[in-house]
Amino acid sequence: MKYGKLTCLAFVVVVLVLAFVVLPVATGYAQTKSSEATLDIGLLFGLTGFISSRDLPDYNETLIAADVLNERGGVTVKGQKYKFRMVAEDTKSTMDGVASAANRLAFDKKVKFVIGPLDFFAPAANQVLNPAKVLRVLHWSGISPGEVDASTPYTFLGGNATVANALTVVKYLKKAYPNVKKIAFVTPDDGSVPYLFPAIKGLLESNGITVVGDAIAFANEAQDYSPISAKINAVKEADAAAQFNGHLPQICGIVKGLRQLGNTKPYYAAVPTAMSEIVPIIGKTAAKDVITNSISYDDPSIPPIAKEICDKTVAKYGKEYSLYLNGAQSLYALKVAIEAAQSFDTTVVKTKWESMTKMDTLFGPGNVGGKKTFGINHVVTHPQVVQVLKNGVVTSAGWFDTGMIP
Amino acid sequence: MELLATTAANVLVLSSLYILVALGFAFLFNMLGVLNLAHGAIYMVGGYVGFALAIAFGMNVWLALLLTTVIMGAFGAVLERLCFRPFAGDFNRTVMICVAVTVALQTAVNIIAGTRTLALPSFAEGGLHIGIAYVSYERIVTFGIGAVLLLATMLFVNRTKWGQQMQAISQNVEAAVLQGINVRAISGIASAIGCALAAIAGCLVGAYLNLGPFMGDLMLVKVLMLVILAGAGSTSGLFITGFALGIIDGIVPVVANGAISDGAAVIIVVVLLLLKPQGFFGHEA
Repeated sequence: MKYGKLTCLAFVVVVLVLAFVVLPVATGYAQTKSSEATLDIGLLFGLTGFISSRDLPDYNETLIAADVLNERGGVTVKGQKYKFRMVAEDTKSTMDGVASAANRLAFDKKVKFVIGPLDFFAPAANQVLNPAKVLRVLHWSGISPGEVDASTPYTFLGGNATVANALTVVKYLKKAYPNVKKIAFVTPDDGSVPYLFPAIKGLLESNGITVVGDAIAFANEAQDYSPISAKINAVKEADAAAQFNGHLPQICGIVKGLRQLGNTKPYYAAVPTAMSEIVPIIGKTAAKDVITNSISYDDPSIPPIAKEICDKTVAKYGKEYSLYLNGAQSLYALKVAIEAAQSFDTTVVKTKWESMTKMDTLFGPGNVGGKKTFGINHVVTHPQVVQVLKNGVVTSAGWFDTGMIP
Repeated sequence: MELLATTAANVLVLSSLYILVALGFAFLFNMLGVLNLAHGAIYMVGGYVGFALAIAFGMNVWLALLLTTVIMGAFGAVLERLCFRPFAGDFNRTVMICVAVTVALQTAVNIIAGTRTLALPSFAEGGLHIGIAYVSYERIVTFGIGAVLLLATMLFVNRTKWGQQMQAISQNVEAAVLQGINVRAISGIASAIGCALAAIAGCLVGAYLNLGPFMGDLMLVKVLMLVILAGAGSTSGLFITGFALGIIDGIVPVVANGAISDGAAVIIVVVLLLLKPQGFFGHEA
């Protein structure tokens, strides 16, 4: 009994020490840690569902980019450094998922700056984010209404996407395939075709490349691309085919189908999908004359910050990982815009950003434009790399200056 | 003309793939009355198992296909024993367990293989010119395997003792038991065959097209359309409806542009069902 009383007393003493000594110290430490200045950035990415093959790598790279930028001081406003704190929500590759995720970011987590979602998903978040004046940077856009235009005053396009990459298509084809004068236009039917097709067709034709016939559009969630390959193959007048949007399964399905039909014409997928992911799927027999806008991890000409993000991504996920860096560039563009405005007020940042014509990007000096093409001066462009697959060998064709989108 | 020839080849390949997967589903549906909503996930996992054997273990792709068939067949037998048999006759619980199996399989594949698009190595490289069309050996192999398996399955069902016992069970379980048929064993065999057929289709698609963790979802929709169009209890009807769906899916994207092609196929199926709600070849309930 005497032993029992001592045990109880010891227990009480331990509890009291925990309550009045250990916990306050720990809490004080936690408070000290959380007093580090942070800026919450919402991320709207499709981490599950059919778009995840495209969005998940970009999302992972954005997280790495945040770490890299934080190591370099984060974002500085009025002399105070703020670290980026990423607040991610999964859009589940559905419109409902986008709306729900946007709601949680804007109203539960009170985020004022958001990156994403991907092009045709963007309008689903407008009714939530626009009234709340959340400044949003799309990491990819297809020029459809409600993505980046006059109806979305708080939305910017953070880097090269469909329209900018079309300019690299022109520049690269003229340099490497001067005999290519006519192309077949290929694109997923995500609602953007009535807008994307005339815009890009106009850009191409003003640069001497003719589009043969109508856009060859396919269902975004199709699994069998053999009929699409058959349609592209049937366009005998075209010297090449170019796909201006889409993701890995689509590119691979179409290229594989074309090569299975004996079509060996150049195929330019103007998206940042890496050859290292394409080649294993299409096979070595089909691995000829395929071009993308992907970064090669061992490209020595990648600018330093982008290089660091690429190196860390490869170290974590392997060499075959597609290096999109669209989300990373959007984060960087946001940082540059906030620092230019020296404010976290989204209206002040928006006003400053849309007055800019030049801006620094992860890939070198960039531009801000888009008034004529998009209806609003909210589109960032930057130097774009081209990756080429010839006879199974992947090489970088160098960087091309896209210039400003009019 | 070349487009016509190419489209015809696409139709044949698609039809054989659809029929192969649908047959596996029909085995369970017609024989055991089990609406196996996990069939799409099994088809997907079959493809990934084939990929793992061919790529991770460096096996010859044909050997990987054979081993995948055995593995997934065994999985089918286990699935029947643990998931279907305990809930035999209970439709609601069977559906729930199928959904659970689907989620578990998709999540497992997501965690192990990620959401990246993958592909099996080709079963045959190169191709040949047939008239004005160029047909790859991959397509010929895919169609050939599908056709051989379909024929083998029909022969199994109609000419073997096990097949006839399966037909007996599908007509009247109690009578089959009274005849001395071991319903449990035959159910296990039916489930094994169904899953094996789905897995073979998954491997063929993985080489012909590609692999993705959600590829089973769309295939399940196609299979349900096929089985419903064919009608309850009709295995041979699957051949005709599978061919019809192959024609729709092979031709509509060529003549119609964009996302409408997907919707058009579904609309056609719905119209057909409005004309014949019990399916075209099945018996009345």
